[in-house]
Amino acid sequence: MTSTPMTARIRSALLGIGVLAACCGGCDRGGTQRESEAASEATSEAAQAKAGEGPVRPPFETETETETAIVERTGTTAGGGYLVRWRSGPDGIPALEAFSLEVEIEQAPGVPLAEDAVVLVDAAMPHHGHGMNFVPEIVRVAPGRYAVEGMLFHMRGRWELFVDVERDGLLERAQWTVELP
Amino acid sequence: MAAIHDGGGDLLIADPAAGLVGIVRDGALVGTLPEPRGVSGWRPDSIGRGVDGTVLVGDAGAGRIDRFGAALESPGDRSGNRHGSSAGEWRWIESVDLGTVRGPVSPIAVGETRRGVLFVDGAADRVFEVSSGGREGDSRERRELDGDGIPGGWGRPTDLVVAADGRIFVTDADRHRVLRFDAEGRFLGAFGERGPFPGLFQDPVGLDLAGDRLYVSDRLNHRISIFDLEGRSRGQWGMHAVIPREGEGRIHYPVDVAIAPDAGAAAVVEPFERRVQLFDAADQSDAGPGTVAELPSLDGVTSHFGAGVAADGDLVVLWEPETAAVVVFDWRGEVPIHVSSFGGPGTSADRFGRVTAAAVDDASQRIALADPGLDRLAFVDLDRNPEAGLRLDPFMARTAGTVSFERIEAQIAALAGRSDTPPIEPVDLAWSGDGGLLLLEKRLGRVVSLAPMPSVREGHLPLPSEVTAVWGPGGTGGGAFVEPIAMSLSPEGDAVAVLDAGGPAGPARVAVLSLDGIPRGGFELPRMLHSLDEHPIAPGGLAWTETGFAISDRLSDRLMLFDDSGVLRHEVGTTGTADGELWSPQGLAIRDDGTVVVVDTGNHRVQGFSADDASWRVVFSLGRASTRQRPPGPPGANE
Repeated sequence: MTSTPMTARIRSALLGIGVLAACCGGCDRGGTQRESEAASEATSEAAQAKAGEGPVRPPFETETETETAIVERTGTTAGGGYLVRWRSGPDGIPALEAFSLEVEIEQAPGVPLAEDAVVLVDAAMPHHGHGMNFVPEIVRVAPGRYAVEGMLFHMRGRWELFVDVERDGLLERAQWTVELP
Repeated sequence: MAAIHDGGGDLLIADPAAGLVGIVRDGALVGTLPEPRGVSGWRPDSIGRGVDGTVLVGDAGAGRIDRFGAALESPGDRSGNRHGSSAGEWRWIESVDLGTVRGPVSPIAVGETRRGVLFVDGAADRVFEVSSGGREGDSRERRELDGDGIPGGWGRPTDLVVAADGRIFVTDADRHRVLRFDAEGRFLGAFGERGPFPGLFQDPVGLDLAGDRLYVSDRLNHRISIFDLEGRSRGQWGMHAVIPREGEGRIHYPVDVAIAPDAGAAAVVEPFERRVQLFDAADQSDAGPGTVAELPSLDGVTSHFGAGVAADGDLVVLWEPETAAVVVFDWRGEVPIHVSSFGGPGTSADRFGRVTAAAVDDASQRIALADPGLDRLAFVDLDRNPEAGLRLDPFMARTAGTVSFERIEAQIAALAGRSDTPPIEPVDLAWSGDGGLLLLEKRLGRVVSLAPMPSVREGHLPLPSEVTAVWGPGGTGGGAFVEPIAMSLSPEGDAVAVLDAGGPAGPARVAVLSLDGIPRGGFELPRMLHSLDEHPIAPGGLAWTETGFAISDRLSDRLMLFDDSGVLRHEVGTTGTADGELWSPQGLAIRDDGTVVVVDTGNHRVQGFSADDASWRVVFSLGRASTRQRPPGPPGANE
């Protein structure tokens, strides 16, 4: 069973404050779904334009979420090692309230993640230079399935949600954008 | 460099570049310690107090520790006194037997208890004690200081002191703390963590003790922090130098501090500024030395970049040790534009401890970073549209993953048929094509070739996580680089050049090999720059250009251009702060337009020079860039 003890400590809100001091001008905060799709398309086109020069990487996801609907997402870690699906609870992903996630991970098509892997779930607002204020608890409930409790997005705006999978010293990350209007 | 007060009023400064330990009295150099008997190319770089008033001096490159003591009064005694000090005050006593040795040792800090000599082994990131006593001729027992119970294990020990009651204190720079041990060498506890506030550290690398006070040279906080022996903060002094060369009591990257026994005087060692600053008791307060005049205005390009740089296509990648951040420039136009910063201090996959090398691949938009502070390689993908307009984008960088050094070390050991291998310390990285990565490693003195595992899912870029080969200057068959500094791929991408400083025996050389480690040639660098009164070369960086090789000299502040066979074609740069002048230039990269990108570390900026004729092209840092070279002005005008 993989678990991270619930920790009620408050994280430093100054995480990385020196890194992104003047970033707000670059923020595309509150982007609409249409703009997000256009950005994804442009990135995809650029990636395709590079075909023949090396491996093509699938475009990154950027989609707008609502507060109350169940949210589901599927993606692959950056190195292609794992397929990750996550699903929120019935209340979706609210701002300023704790929420939970169910995470399912495959290490090969149809093969659940091995028990000895370490799974971490986290989120951050890169343009603000901070992450979440709480460390979520992650419990393995079945082969390749994890219950994540204690997620909290303490402000509205664009969050980046990460799922890290580590085995034998190799960690890969899957990442999604979650925008809370 | 390192320094101690000898307890008799003198300050002893170990200077490896000069190859001597200087004796400073009343602010003036009055002599040197004699060289150890039978040694040539001595490069003392650590110094500590031995028992009975003796002094221990370490030479990390040679793996030796020597003991010095007061000269005997007998006029007939000449043992070890080849050069002698002023008035014959010091004599060489012995080379300390470091006991049963397994592999090379690299003493970077020394001290002594009643049980024996203590030293920090920079090659193993451990502290060892060599027992004294026993019969003459017996090999001394060497044991490791007990690291059981140290949270997170040993990080990067850099200095140590022994208190009067035998307790031992060790700075752990990568974990930003000081470790405490009892007189038997058992771990007691640690104090400090990373941060800028009083009581916190950012790269604490030097340590001294006066009475019941510990003095820590806190390198990236640019100050001296004071603690009692229980680890309680008792204050700090020193103000960060606003501009390079400022001096006047402002501190800039201190690596050691030497306190007089009565704390009435202090010396702060700042090799970044090539100086040692002396303070008296009045200076050692939070208010700093004397009265502070109006701060000089900052009018120039300044960013606290690390020593390395990576470039490919339009991308240029650097890092800032003080913020543990990586910065990305897009250089599609006349000057590079800052488009993203990411990272910051921490331990999660998207944070950094101590970055020492980077490589960037424009085609895949992937960055590789070596982070010995967190014992791993980190990989970051850029979500970047090369055709879109330029803007600062905080979302551009997306962590792809990490590969632990432990994994790499286990694979290296397996390849060599051994059970373990020393902890690796990468000094350079290079993408080798097809997602592979070359890692230039300092302790093994070899290049480690990493390949990605076959992709489980199509259309993705697996991380280079599998060691496929390890090779030195002689190929995979054996041999090791003595002091590897940097590597660079050929313009065609089908070969790699490795810059080896050559150690104390020298000379420095460039070795050329294929991407799978087959030697193809190379050349030796001249030992001296004849244009500078035989100044020895201290190579800092390497770039393979269309016309040969560019090499930076971090001590003479030059950029040198060699042809393919090692003939020097051009040298550029003089010591200074104006455009075109350099101060401790280190990492190099080459752009497709033939610009040699030089990290001008001592001037907190990057400059570009032509690979053809070494003419100046550009200067830039965060927030500012210029292709108009400003002429040297009055002192301070260009700072």
